[in-house]
Amino acid sequence: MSSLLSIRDLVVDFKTRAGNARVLNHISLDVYPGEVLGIVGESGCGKSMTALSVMGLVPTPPGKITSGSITLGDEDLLKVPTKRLHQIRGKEISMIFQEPMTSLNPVFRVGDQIAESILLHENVTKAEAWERSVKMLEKVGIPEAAIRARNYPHEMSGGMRQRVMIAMALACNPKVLIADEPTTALDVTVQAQIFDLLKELQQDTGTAIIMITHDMGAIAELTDRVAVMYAGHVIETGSTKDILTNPHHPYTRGLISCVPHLEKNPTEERPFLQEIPGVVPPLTELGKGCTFAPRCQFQSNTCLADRPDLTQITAEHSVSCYNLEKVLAQ
Amino acid sequence: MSEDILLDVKDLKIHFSKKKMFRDPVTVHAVDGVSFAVPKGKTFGIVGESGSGKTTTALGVLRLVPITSGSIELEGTDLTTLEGTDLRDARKRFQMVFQDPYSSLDPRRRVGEIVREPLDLMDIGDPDERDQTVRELFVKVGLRAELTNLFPHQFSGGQRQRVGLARALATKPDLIVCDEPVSALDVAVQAQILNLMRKLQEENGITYLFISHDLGVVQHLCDHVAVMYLGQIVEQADRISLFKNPQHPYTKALLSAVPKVSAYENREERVHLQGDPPSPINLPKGCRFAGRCPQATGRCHETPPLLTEIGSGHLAACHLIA
Amino acid sequence: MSASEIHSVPKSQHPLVEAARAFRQSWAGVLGFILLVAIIFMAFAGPHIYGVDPFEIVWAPLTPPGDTETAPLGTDYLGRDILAGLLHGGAATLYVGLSAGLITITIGILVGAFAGFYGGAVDEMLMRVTEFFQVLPALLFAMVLVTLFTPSIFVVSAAIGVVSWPTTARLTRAEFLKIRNLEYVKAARSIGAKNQRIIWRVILPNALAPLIVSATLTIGVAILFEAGLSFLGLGDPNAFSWGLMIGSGREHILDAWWTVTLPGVMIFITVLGFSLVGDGLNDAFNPKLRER
Repeated sequence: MSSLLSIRDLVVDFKTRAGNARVLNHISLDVYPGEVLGIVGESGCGKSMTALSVMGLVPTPPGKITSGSITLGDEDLLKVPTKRLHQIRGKEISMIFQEPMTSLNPVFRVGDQIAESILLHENVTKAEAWERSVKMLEKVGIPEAAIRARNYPHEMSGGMRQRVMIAMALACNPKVLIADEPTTALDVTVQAQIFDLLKELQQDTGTAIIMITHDMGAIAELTDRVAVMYAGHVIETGSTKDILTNPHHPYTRGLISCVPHLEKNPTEERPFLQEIPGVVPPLTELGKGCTFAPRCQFQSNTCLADRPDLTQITAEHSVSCYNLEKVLAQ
Repeated sequence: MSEDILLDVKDLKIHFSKKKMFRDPVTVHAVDGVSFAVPKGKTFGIVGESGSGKTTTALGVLRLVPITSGSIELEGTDLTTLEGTDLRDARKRFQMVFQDPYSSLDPRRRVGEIVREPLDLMDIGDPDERDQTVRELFVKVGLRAELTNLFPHQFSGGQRQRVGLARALATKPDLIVCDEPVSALDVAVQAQILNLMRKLQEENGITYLFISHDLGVVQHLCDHVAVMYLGQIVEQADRISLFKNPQHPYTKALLSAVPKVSAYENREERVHLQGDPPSPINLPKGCRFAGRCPQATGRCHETPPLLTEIGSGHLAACHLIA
Repeated sequence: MSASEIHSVPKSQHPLVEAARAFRQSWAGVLGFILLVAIIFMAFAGPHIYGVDPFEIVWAPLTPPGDTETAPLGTDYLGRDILAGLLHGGAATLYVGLSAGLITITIGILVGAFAGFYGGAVDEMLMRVTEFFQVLPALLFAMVLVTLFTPSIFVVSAAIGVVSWPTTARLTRAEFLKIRNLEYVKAARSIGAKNQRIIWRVILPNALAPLIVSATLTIGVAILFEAGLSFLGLGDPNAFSWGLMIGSGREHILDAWWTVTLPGVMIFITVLGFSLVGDGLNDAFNPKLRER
């Protein structure tokens, strides 16, 4: 199957006072039609920056896309003129953000905000746009949508606002929806509602979703494939099942086992959590070895000398690590 | 419960009234009749969503918000009646670790001074030895003693949370109240802090009152758990019976809402909750959860259920149980 | 578990050191700083180098600049040396600016800190007082104060201070409202700190950055205020200030431009200096800009 969105060798640099920070380091990712791709990692790993690059929203300066390509259909998003980018943004690719409180404009009715995004991209009348925005609100499960469309954002709860954001993002039937930690600011019961909604809409519309999260539970619930990122690198990709049941990279393994997962049948026994020692290194001081080596229990001289490439181990599963035998033997 | 009780909270109520121009003042029932007992050397968890009153309960126990009624006994001393110097003296025995490692440390002070401050203010130990005590506390929480001279902004989130723990430990308290101490941290760092907290408990016999919205963390760390909804405890039990055998419909819904790592193969049927919690200003007259409860009956909307024992040490407030 | 995450101990960086570094990167701040240093040097070393008494009549009245060797910048309507006036006037002007600024900041911080910290009735009361002072026409009120007392340099400073503190009070209150809910304030309380300690040792140091910026700007405004009062003839007649020079040259503004323009330029440079330093400090204290 050919990919819908294809990121190749993307390099993004940020100038900081401490020096040049390479926030994305030769990232390659593919998104296939109708799938949910998860990008998981800790803060500062580059997962949000990947999303911003796709949207053409990297703050420049201090940021700079140094090299690489992002292809949607047959267009390279890094090369298209700004005018075309504006057409693509919101129409073919759209995004929902973490903070539903601040990503809606507080002085406009939510219905108008959705209609606005339709009017920007499609040749319809205002009345039609309004009608469609009410339909979208119905679709994302807002009761009494026609009345609710006249509300201002502050009159809605966090969960409602995130639904409005989703309605706005999907109003023009985009090919790709990027969701950047869409439920982090929400309570678990509301998070569950949003997850169910996203799954449902995805099955209905066939929109491909890039789901950015730090939560392995969310990955398990929603995604088909996963890319694990660390310090600006993709260090492991594979099907969700492979990553969760058979993780290869020591960081992926750590990420799964360091979190206390909720169990249905807890026992009296409570071992200490497995730790990943240390913290993510500053991106200005990465050195030339494997970026995870300083925190890795399998670290060897090779790891410190040279950065491993992402290598395919099965048709779907790739990992960048020199010591897979040692890791898997454990 | 046969264990020694360190903290005994009875019928705690914390109401805020907001004055409004040209309108009647409104009362927010942030905590509305909460009772629980925390055994010595154990961890008592309070879980709930935003607006459940869990943080206000914590602040109330610490006497950092005005208490409307009820009692908070710390080994026989009623904290609610203490004022002025007596209250400041009593603060030695209960300390707090905060959620946000960025706003909980004064950015203009060196971390060593931050940890030393409680010793100075409460006049603990010989002044000449206090710097040494601070260095020992640093080592205890896994920081190097040489770092005392730095400022908070020079530390990562996890290290700041260690400093926060060192500050809380300085007065050798019996009780540490932790308000979401790991929710602002990255998952890998979260594990480091949770393990450190357990280690400190094993070494020093500290009692934790642990406030969190993260059920996985609560299940891992806490010995007893109370589930709060709109200012009240709806279910309370020891760790195993609460998670294995949840009784209250809200607890069940909460547990089923947590995304599970096993979900990629068998997505279990979720208890769907509609809408959001009602506001703590205009409370429903019956069960506070009735409006969202999938099983609510007429009775639920009319009379509020009481928290009653349904098994050994297992309490729940629901008309539909037993 | 790793005992520590940092392997070599980094140098301790005081937040003010960071701010100083950021200040050096702001061209406005640096330029303002140079202007101020020059003005202060002139005001204090100038009179010693150029030993002419500003009150002494040295030449014919209203001599234009450049005409003579005795009064290189000309003379005023009494024949007093303008250059001597400019050099001597700096000290008085700076004195008024700084002391008025100090009074403003002191009253403003006291009122703002108590209002913001205690809230409720204390806040209501203090804010009503603040509003009362804010709605008074400042110049008129200052004129009344100066006329009530003998116009000495101290009375002028006090009058300016009394009319300009409300802005600082509001700013302080806003900062206190923001900071008093932060967790480190709760932390201070939970380790037994008393209110006074929390106000002055915990909240105030963290609220200081915008207050310093505003204080710098206040000094500039105070200097302008003094000039205004002197222009209207309400300055201290015994203290030689730039404002007084402008005031006394007022009637000759059309036929002897230098008597008014030259001290005006000095005031302009000084106020500009303070205001540029204020800009620089604002940049330095703003962590968002500092990251760049």
